[in-house]
Amino acid sequence: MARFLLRRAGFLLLTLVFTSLLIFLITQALPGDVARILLGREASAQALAQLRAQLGLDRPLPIQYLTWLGDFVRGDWGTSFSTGQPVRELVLSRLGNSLQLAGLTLLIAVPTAVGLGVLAALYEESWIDTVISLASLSVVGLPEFITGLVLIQVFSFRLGWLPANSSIAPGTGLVAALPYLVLPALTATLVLLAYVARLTRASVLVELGRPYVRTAVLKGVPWRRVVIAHVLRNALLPTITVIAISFGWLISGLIVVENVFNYPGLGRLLTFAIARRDIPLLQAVALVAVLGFALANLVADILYAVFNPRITLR
Amino acid sequence: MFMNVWKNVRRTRLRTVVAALAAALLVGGAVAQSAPSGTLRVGMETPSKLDPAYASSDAEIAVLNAVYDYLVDVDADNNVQPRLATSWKVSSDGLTYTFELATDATWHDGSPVTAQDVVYTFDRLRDPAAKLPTSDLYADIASVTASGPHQVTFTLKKTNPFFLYDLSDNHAVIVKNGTTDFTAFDGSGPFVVQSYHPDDRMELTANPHYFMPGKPGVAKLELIFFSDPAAEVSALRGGQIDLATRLPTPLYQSLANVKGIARLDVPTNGFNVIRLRSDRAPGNDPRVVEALKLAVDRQAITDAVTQGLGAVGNDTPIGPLYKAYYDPNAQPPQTDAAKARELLKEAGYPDGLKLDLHTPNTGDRPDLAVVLKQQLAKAGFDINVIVEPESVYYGDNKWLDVDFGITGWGSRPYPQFYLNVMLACNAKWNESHYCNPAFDALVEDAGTTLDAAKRVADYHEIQAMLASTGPIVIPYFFPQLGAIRDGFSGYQLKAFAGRSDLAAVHAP
Repeated sequence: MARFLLRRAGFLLLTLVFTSLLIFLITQALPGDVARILLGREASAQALAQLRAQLGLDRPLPIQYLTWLGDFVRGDWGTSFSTGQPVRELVLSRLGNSLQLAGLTLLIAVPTAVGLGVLAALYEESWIDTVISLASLSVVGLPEFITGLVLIQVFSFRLGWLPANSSIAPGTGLVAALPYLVLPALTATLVLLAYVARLTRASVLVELGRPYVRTAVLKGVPWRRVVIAHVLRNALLPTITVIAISFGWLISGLIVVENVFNYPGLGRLLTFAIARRDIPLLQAVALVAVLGFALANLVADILYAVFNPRITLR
Repeated sequence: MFMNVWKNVRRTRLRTVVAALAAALLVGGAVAQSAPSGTLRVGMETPSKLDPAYASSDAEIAVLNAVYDYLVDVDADNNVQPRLATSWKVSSDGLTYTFELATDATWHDGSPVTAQDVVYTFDRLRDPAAKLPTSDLYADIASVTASGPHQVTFTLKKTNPFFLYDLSDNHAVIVKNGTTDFTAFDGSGPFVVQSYHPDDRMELTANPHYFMPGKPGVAKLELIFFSDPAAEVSALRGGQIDLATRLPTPLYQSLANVKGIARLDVPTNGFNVIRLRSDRAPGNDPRVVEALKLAVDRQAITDAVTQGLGAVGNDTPIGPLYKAYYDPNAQPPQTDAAKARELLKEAGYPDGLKLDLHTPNTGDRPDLAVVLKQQLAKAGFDINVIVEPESVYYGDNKWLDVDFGITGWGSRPYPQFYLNVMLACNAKWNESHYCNPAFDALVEDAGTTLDAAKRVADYHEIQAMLASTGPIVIPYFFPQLGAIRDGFSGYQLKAFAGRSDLAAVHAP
């Protein structure tokens, strides 16, 4: 187990360095000059050159990259090109917001999706199955900005139950923020729902067809117990992996949802950084995102081993 | 007699009351004004450049206008109004301007605003060595001096009838003497910055020592930044913001019958210019320019792109908002696609003229490009629309280089600015590379003469020239669209939304 973790940590480190290099190269290839974007169309060539020098953009590319990497490793995430503020605080505060939203989304999405999936499998080919499949498939095809706007229309404008917008002030506590989190979390849930539900349905069906289920039934184990103790334990393995990986996506991939609700998470910060070619900020957000994905994967692997004794982590 | 009575009431509570009553009578209405109360939450685009020399977007200027003061202000009717300067005098030769500053204005850190601060501000903005965006605008200032602790004197190299407007340029908020770092927001304005989260919001409170009586109206001002205007409108409808100052037309229309929200619509002199580079082929052939003008149906474009909310343009940057300066008789040639096709044939393009049309991907410009492509096709132009991010169109200076492009220009309170910076031969941003000595002579005269009638005549002649032969098409002037929650009073949307006075707003 220790060796496994060590090896994974090594891989993770390599991934992070590679990602940072890739992001750096991509930002270089993007059209548009950083200084021009920051100072606007009225700025003189002289002012642009001065800003480039101030940001260190006049140095050779390898030096720029290595300096940034060296500082980052030592815990100095640098200063944002566009705001002049320390990157680390900003990214960590937005990460906190993103974790809140991701947590609530999973809290809503997992029981709903797994429940629907199991229900659909248990009542395979009945009207229940048909309704669940149809509903989840029709929702998954809609982009988030549509589902988000529909939810706003219904729950905010029509019913007046929830705020239409989630631009919470910095430092808002979790309890105070909760009502603002519900609609974005529901929107993200709708994206996950169909996928997780159908995956659960498929693996429950596979397990239901296995001989041990018949044995258990014939032995006289109550059906409810067969399903919960035997079928689900095995059927949920792939689902757990998918959920863990989704968590990585929820942390940094909710770009559309966060913009529709103006929620100050990592996704919106990423849009901000890209629009301004703010390389230090962009790097930090991207690395936190990659780290999130990698850790989520790691957790998925460990959980898989815990639930499946046939697998040992080496 | 009075003094005797006064002595008799000494050391009594009555004396205090009498003194207070007398003060109330002297100060008049000022006492009746209530203290700032309530909160105003404004939705806006995310500002980026908050160094006054570079700030340019509505959101950026709105922040400056809340935190700092202009020397003089321009109201919604384009009249110059006092702000930090309470009064001014102009010498009879028009070359010396003397301003008296408010004596009770202070910086947010408590120190007084002095003439030296004003001198520093304008010396910084006009410094030819620093090459700030304002250095050309203020090139004709000979000197700025503190002629008293609260008196500033500007001396000009040549007369400038628009000098007060120039002093109220969007960049020209007064900053504290010596400021080079603008992240401290130490202004003298109606609101004090409490916290700034550049990607998210800015929180401000009323400046308790603000020198303008009765301002600001609200105790707390929150500027909330949106990257998606649709989210801004949801927030307005859902009650999370109270005011949205810059809405795209479709979102503005979506608020038509929403209870509790009033829509705001003011005409502006902001425009998109469709400009054809005129110093090389194909734009250097007057027949091609004429064909372009004949091919465009400005009314149809206005109806399609602004849904009729904009004002139809005449291919000149001098719009109806400038009242006497505007000449409704200066009209571009009547739309005639067949005649345009004929002219193209004569100019050597019998099979049509192929052109790339470059446009930034912001505002209504992509829509305009598409409508334009269809109209021009009828006249034999084969247009390939290239939509690019602003960072590319402006960033690589494409807008000054490409043959055919669309550029947005914000609304200004006076017309001379556009002529000086985009159409005179040596203009800094002469994107159409237009150069006409007769035109330049008129621009020079209009920009220096103190004879108002002469200036009106010059502008009319300029419009006639541009409408008939200028290598530009200005199909419409933007409407400025916004919306405000019921109960908030005192807000007056200006043509340049960022200059609207948030300090005048009162919360319900």
